[in-house]
Amino acid sequence: MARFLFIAATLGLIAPLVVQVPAAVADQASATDITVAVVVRDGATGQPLPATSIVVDGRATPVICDEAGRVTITGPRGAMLVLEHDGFDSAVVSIDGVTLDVALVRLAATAETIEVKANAPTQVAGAAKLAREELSHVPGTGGDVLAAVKILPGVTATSPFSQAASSGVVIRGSSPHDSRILVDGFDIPQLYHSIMQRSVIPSAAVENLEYLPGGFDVRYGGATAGLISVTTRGGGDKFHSTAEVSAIDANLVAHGPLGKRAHYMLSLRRSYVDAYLGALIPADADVGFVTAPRYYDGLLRLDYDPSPRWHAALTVIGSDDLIKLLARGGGENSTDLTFRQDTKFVRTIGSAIWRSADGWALNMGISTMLQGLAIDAGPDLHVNIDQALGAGRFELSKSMAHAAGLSDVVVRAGIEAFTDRAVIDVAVPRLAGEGDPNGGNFNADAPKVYYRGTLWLTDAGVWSAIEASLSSRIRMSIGARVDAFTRLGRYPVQPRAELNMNVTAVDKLRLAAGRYTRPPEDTDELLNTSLRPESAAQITLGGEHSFGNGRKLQLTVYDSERTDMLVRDANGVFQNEGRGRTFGLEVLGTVRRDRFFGWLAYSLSRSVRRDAPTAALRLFDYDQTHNVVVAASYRTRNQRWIFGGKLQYASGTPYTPVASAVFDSDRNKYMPVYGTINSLRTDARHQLDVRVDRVWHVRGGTVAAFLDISNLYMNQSVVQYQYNYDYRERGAIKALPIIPSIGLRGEL
Amino acid sequence: MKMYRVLSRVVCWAAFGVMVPMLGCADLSEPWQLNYARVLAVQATPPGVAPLQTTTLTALVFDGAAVREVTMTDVVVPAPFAALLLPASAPAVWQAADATVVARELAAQQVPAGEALVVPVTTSVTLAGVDGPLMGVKHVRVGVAAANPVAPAVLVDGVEQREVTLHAHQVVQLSAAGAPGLTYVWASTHGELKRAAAANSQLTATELGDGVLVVVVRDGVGGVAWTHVPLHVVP
Repeated sequence: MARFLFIAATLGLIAPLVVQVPAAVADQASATDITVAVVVRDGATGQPLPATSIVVDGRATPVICDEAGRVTITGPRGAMLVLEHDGFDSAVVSIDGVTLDVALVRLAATAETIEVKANAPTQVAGAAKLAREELSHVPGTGGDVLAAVKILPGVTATSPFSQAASSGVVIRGSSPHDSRILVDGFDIPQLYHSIMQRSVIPSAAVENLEYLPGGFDVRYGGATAGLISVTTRGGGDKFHSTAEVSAIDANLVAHGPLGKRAHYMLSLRRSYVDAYLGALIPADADVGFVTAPRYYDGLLRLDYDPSPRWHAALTVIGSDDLIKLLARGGGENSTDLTFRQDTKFVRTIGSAIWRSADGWALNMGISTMLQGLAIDAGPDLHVNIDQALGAGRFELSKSMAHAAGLSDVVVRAGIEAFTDRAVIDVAVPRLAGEGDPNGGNFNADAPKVYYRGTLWLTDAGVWSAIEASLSSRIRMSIGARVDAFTRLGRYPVQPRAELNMNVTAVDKLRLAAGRYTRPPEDTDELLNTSLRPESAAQITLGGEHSFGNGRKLQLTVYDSERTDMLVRDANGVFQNEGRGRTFGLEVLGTVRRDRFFGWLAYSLSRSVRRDAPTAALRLFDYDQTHNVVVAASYRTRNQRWIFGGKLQYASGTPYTPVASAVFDSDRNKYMPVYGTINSLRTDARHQLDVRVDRVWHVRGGTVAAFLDISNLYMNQSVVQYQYNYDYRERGAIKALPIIPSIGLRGEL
Repeated sequence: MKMYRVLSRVVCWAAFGVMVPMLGCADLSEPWQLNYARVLAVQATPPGVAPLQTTTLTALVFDGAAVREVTMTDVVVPAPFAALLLPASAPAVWQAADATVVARELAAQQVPAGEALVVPVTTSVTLAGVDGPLMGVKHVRVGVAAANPVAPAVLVDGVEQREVTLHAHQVVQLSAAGAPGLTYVWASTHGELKRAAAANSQLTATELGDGVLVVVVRDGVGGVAWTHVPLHVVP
């Protein structure tokens, strides 16, 4: 609480300072303001560009061009204007007369760039928004959307075969389970298919991806770190289809209009590695496939605009994975062991937005989900869970030009709730917690967790916030969220605030602070109803400077103080005894030209934990001091070739050394004696990924082929260390030396 | 946040378990390989002691060249059990307390009637030519008398052998004849063992030379016994 008071006090101290500066500037400027008629055109066609956003030097709120690409603005002679329009390079011009005719340069049609639109829609420092075409051309990802987020500053670089990579995304020194990944506003249970690190949503079905590494709005709860929000693709006004085949799977996406007011998008994908993977494994190998891994996924989205004030959408997303392995008896196993994993889910999301003429807006979403999971790995290890879930979210807002002496006021209030029924039958080794040296080992000897029964879980949250411009340069948002974790009987209050300042037309400052909580509902945390939610107090300060000509630089510093973290006591029982802190700095620089794109992301961070009030500080499992990503791509003049490359360097992963081991004669097993937790690191990871796209323009469409090579110079980074039976010998489990990926895509 | 995080994490954990063997691991020593000095088993004779009964702690060790049965010279009983298991005539010989003390300690630990209190005893021995002491923890059961299983006979292709001679690349089936309910662990200085943690194993002779073949049996309640036979691999 004291921490939060400090944050609030900091905001209180900063606000008067930053308000004074623009007020003086505004007073000075108003005496020389002139009225300027602006028209914005497509530089290639000369056609007007409606809805272009123009920010006048020092003002918080942009003005928007009308249908004819025109708008009238006022400002002092010499003031800078920043113009932005989706699909076009941003431009910076100055007022030098009563008319301005600006031509924007269109980004390449199949843009290979990764664009950070830090000023919209969110104002959080360090936030980014990436479009489908941008995501699917990141080298080293095989075109997979979620793999592409790992180039962002603040996202920890992990091996594609590490537990962290399988679990989600590590954002700003936090557990993957401290962040949420949303699809059309709701969680999905599974990010990746069981094999090949393919995300469950094909790139062609994604519209964009928004990245909020911290300091997010009160409308989001249940996370103490960051958010990644994926928006699925809506159908266009013309029929369009895309077919993509790779060595792993095939995907078909079709979208188009349904009458005058509706659109559809349908995506279907099926892996076919099962057709040949089994044949690649020798008959006498210790591991073989009974059923080779295969997956399906599908996505249907319908959009409907019954009137100009209403928009409704229905999304159905589903996935089905099956893998069955046979481990033949040998070595220490005297009998064959079968491993089967069968996961499936279907999530349905209905949403609607209504806007009135007088500034009211209602944003609604309801969702249901059915999910099944079956894992069978011998008589003492099985998981069978069937779930049914219902959720809803409603937010009402009112926009006002002026209210209570403030301008551009938006008042919002919302409510969300979900209820989940799960029929559970599990017998699994207890999962090692963060910081547990056994966490890196697949330890079948860990104490078992048994549960058989039906669990109900109901959580809810309410929030309210007010946004307003304090001056022509300053905009602030302040709000609070209250979550209701009914199973625990806990109702944490989470105040949050944001401050945005346009120092000049090309310089911005952003400050955000708030409290965030995560309920203890991960794995066997659920079985303990006396726990408190984990909590984090975050403060983020960021600056951004646009150099013009597509060059931009962002700098963000942050600090997150975590309390009530769950740690296991000596008996393996969860307690809220842990504390943690993460602080760091992020730099993002982009250079974007017509045919060239450059990206530099650097993260410097430190993430530490204290497992008990008197325990020593230790490094977090995924602490990563340095992470540098340099990426570039170039499109040839004839638009037929795209060459891209990405070089990444990241500090190694902390691990706990084994100091010695004691032989337990009766169990015929060596028990490790660990050294200081996370006191050593694996070697630094670095790799070069390259990608080449070749595009052929055929009748009414295009055919594109790509070759994506991950880890070109074959640096095998360490995933984790493995010890022999008595811990005297240690060997590194290394990532694959090189991963080529080829694919073919046709578009009509 | 939601309960289905349970699922995603379990799936990840299971998938990771599948991935690791697919990535491949370093070439590490297997438990059946006798390639450096270590303790193979510690035997308490008897493994379970009634009040005032004594037990002797010996071990089967591989000293880097041969297998030896040695008396454990350094034995430490944890402080909470110091009144229950007392040093006797020699460092490796320990005696259970009298019936009154044993009954009191068992009651204090809420041990059900008729069952023993398991005392973890740390044992070690220092051998000439071996770096550092060789250590092993043995659980001595106090309160109820028990006995070790009978040392098993070693059968090669179904025939009992007291000395095994194989030709290079010869493959033989090993089996150990013991009482039901025992677990078996094989180890060898030469060759390659498959199913080394089963009663019936397979040995493939590889490099030439003289060594030893060992089988250790355990009854799961502290009883342990072993048999070791000379092994020769000839051209």
